[in-house]
Amino acid sequence: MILHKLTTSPFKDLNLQNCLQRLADNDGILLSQDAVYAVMHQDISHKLSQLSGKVFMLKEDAEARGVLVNEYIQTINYGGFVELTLKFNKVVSW
Amino acid sequence: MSDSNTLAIINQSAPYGNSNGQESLDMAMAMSNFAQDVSLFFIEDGVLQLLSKQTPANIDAKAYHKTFPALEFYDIDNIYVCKQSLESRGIKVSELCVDITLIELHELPTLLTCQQHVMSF
Repeated sequence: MILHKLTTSPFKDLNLQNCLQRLADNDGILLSQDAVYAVMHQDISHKLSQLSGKVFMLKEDAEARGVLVNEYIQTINYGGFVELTLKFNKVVSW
Repeated sequence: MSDSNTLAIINQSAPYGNSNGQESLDMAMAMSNFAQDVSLFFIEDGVLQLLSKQTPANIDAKAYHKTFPALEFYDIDNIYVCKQSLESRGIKVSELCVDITLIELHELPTLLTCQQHVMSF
């Protein structure tokens, strides 16, 4: 049960693409900082929609950037972020 | 006054992830204060700086995008935005916070050749 933490824009580097290729069944993905722009990336947004229930996004970072949230992504605040890191037994940052 | 220098500033970074966007805007305004003819180019993630719906208060960042509409008072009227970068991010021109000129991918080099100086952020 790994939480994959992403912080950079998928238009800028391949971290999220690389992460998506190495996802186990009950792993989670946390989009924070510039990674929230993933929802604007057609291919990635489609792949994320197939992982509904396991994709999380930091609300403050999304609001700051004017990013609209899709229904398959759960928004959390910083407090929720901490809880998330406790729920998964490992956190991998990309 | 000799004819003023022409300076192109290329923005390719998203806002808030790093300080490139803010620094680039400060540079543009500073240079225009010294009667330099400044043109701004927004490509790739740089176009994200122009979204009007940004509310960065909760991450303790400045909403510097509010300054873009004021650039005309700094005689900065040439704001070019890459059409393909907007399309690949699903952004419509109506979602931007300032009036811009859309450019195709290949137009960037031609527009840059007539600029005396180019800076990239």
